[in-house]
Amino acid sequence: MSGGISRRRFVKLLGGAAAAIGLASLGYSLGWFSAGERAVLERSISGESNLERPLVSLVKGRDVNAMVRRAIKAIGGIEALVSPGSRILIKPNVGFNRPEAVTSPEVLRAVIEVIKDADPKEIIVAESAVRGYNTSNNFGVTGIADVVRGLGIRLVDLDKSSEIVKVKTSGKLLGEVSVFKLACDADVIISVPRLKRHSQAIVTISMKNMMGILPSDQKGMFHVLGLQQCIADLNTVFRPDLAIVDATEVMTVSGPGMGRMVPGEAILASRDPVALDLIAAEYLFRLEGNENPLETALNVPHIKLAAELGIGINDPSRIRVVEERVS
Amino acid sequence: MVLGLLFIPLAGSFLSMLPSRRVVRPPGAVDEKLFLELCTRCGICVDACSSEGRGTLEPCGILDGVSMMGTPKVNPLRAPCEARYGICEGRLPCVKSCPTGALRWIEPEEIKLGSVSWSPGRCIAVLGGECLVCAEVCPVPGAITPRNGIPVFHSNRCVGCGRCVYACPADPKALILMPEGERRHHWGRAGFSR
Amino acid sequence: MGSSRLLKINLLTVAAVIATYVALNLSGVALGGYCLLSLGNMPFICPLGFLQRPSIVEATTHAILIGLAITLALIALHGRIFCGWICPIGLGLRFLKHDKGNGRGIILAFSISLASMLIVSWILGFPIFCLICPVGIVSRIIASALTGSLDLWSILWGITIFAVITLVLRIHNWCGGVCPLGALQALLSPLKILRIKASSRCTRCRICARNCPLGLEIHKDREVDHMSCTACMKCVAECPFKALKPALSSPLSSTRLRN
Repeated sequence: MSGGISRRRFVKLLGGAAAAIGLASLGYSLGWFSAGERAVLERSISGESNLERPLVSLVKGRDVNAMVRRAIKAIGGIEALVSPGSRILIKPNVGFNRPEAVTSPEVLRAVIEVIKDADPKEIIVAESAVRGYNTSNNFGVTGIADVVRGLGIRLVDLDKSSEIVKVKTSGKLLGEVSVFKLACDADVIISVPRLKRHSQAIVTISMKNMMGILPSDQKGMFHVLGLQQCIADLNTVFRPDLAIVDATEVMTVSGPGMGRMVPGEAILASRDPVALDLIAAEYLFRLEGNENPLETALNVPHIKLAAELGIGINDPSRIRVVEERVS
Repeated sequence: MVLGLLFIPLAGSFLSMLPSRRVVRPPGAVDEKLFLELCTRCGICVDACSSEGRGTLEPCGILDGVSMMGTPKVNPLRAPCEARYGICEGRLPCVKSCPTGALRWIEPEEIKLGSVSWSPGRCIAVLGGECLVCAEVCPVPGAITPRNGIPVFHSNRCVGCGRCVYACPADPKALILMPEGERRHHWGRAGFSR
Repeated sequence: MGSSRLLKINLLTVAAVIATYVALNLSGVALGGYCLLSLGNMPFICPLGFLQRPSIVEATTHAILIGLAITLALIALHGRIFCGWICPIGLGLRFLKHDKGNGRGIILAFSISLASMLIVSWILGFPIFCLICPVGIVSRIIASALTGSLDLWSILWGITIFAVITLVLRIHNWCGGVCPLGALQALLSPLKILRIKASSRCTRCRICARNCPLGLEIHKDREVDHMSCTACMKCVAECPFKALKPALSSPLSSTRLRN
């Protein structure tokens, strides 16, 4: 071996190794190694709750457990919805790491206990937090994790699950929507939001809460396309079958991260998310001291758009509100 | 041989004086000049950061400057920095892992990595869309305040966590995290405490 | 033939060190790279990196000093074994055959190179060698690749550095006189225990010296520059009389031999 040739070979070797590393990193950054796009799925929502005259219960009081039970009972009871053997997805709002901005753990506990009594096959509590917040950490610091795990229920940080599916919507802006597969697999979706103001959606209640089953890119895309219409479009396929609103402490004036907290001391429930969001929004605006709370609620774009898409009823004359008080 | 012996002092001092980009350093970084001396480019802080999930820290590449290569920088496009109002508050794994004192302990309320710079021409809200995501995700009271549906940025309050940059749905992003207004440890003033 | 087997073994050792480093980082058992490896909470800093940073003294912990002491002790006992078996540039020494230099003056050149580099570093307040250090660049490229932030330019920069060192400065000049990493190891190891020894079978044929990439005159047992030797084993493999072999000798007896 003479020095010249061998050195050339050495440099070649070195260059080859560097090129291999470079190619691999380039491929990695271009996403060559990630799985390809999947087919677009279809999902049907249960039509039976599409009532002509939806029931909304508004239970006031301080005993959260009793209030939740009463609110669900007033709209026909959990048995009407949850048959033994069904898979339940509970979607609380745990978008932030501040306790006042998320569904309170007590309300969530009461909801889980009620559903457990109906003996479903599986209960999953799942969430994907607002972008920039770590869902698992949110679960921990807000006390959600302790409550859910204490009850022996599976708690899922959707951001850690990589399985994403595309689902066809019957909305106006969104032809199809990417969601975490786990949400798509559930038979019954139960939305458990906290009643809050929202800087862009005006209010965030049961329908806006469903954005927590979207992966990060899709959430961003909603803002690019037009948030209000996208919320309505999403609810054409992921319409909560039951929604229970935590209005024990209400975030008013501004939101969804920080706002003025006002005691609301109420739980609202309904099987019609549009009717529920309308009544809950009215309740919120009334707490804010708005002179025309019902009209303001009727003008919340995504509630109006959802009604136009036939997701639910926003005609106050057709909504039956059951107001109760638990001492 | 003489050329060889002069190579390192000449090339080294020339390369060290080449201009470099200003990057956002991890919390508790000492002054930039001292930082470049103390940092061994070992990447341990980057490892420690990613042990908390998808970390914000990444090593600088050669395009940030020859003298910067391998030093840590905050990249909010990967993830926001959790040192303030986040997972790492009061723990700072990056600082605790630094073996050479290039990163030093800093109290949470002292942390200011920089501030965001806003490009209105790219902002969805300015272009007529429904977007205030930056204000929605901002954890600092009063740092981003919406006015008529358009965000207003108050850089004196911004801690530079980069949540808004991470969450900004505009493409290209309407927000960039800059080291403007960053708070650093100063040589001789703050002792090494751990 | 022996040399090509040695080359394969050396390629494997370099690759194994990199693979171990990647595995340790991915598993979280140890963090860092060549420049500073943190095993548990014990940091093992590159001694040259330490020396180039006078301000590090202000931030030094006991752990860093203990790690440094262990590293220095290992170097003192084994000499330039890092150069011969771990360093990716040292790998290039395998391709060199006959003595480009006379094998003398290596220690003097090393001393000048190390001293001038350190003085400039201290004056500038900047670790200048770390910018060029091929080992550090490999370490940084791996760290970037692990975090998925590796760009093509950084790789090109690494290739440029390697090309300058191997093609412009020439490997034997670099490893036998310029590289401060080699210099530090050589200067620290006058009492090293791992040495190549010639037995009585030696016929003074000089084949070993012609095969030594640094041109060291191994056959002259008393005069050989042990401190410069990288223990690459090329001479051992090429000796037609099997007269050379690596041996462990106690530091005291070897000093006696030198005197």
